[in-house]
Amino acid sequence: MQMDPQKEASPAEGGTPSEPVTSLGERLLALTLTFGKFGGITFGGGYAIVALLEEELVQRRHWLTSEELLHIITVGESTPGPIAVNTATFVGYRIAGVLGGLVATVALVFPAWLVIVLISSCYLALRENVWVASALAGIRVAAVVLIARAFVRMGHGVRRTAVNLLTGALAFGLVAFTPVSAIWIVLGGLLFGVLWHGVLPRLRDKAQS
Amino acid sequence: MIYLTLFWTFFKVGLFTIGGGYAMIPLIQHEVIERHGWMTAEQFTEFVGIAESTPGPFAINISTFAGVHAAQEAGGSGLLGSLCSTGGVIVPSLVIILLIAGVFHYAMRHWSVRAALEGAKPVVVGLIGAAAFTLLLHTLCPEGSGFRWYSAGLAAALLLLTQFIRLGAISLILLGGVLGVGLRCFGIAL
Repeated sequence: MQMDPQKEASPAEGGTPSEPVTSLGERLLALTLTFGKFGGITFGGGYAIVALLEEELVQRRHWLTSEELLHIITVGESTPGPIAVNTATFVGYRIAGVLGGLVATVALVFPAWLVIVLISSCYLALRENVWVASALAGIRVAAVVLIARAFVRMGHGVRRTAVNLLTGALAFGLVAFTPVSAIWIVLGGLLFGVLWHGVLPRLRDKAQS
Repeated sequence: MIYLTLFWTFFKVGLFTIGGGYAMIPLIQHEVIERHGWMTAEQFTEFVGIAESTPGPFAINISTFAGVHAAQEAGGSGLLGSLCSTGGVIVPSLVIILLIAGVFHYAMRHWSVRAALEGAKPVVVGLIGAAAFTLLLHTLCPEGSGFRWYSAGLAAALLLLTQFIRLGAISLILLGGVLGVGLRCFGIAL
């Protein structure tokens, strides 16, 4: 994302929208259109939202600065839930309060929900067809390749330390070979992180000083 | 009550997904296949492919799909089921972000929050690896059938292809579908 110093002429450090001069209705409408567009047109994961928001809310409407948007996306990535949903809620909140957060999220979800409801209503009937079944068999193989690729890509984002490799392998083994729920494993990872990356270094520092 | 179960299940999925759509796959997989038996591993893998090649956030697509299917399997309304599953998956985001949006800046900087996320990162990667592994197993040797050599060959070919050509998710899924039909024309069932 590009930083444009001119866009930061009115910095909004305290968490208020950059230019709250437009009416609430106008802001809600803009949120609906922007996030509806994202939900209905763009494909793929949460990152596709970055370019769209930058163009619409930073460049065109000047409602957020690049810096604010970057901060919002960082938060969206590191809080529970889908990145796109987190980002929509947060952007909506920044621009039009709690109502804005709700409106942006519903606008994002609605088109995607509608398309899938339509597709899935004929999925079971079509699945019986031999050609559809053949296509789905190919799609299954491609989907597995896709997940494997996401695994490799996300693995690159993690530092290769002994403890990271160990916890990653442990999580892999527990989910692949035991009936332990993935939820407990995520929870375990969060707790382990607090102890290993948080508490332990602090205790060590204290012991040294 | 299937609707309540759907809402609660996807609420948990939303709450414990850290790092976006793909991180959600192992969680949904465990809940809908192993725990509740709402669908087979084959159907789930097809959903992943379809969700990735339809517009909108991947997480919403897969939740909606699973909700429709699970409710129909239980003899309920797919529409209501999808409202419960998709609603369930977004409520944790909405509540968490709206509740602490004001203090977010400070909360995210706290050492304990950063340490927790640091610890969860490799775990989430491991979970996605496990999802890839188990779904691959189900795709290559489904229950009640032998090893599927043609599927294994196609998986290897697609994997190799993505090493040389930058293929987007949709192109990859479309290619898989086209090859599935194409091979069937020659009498080869994947």
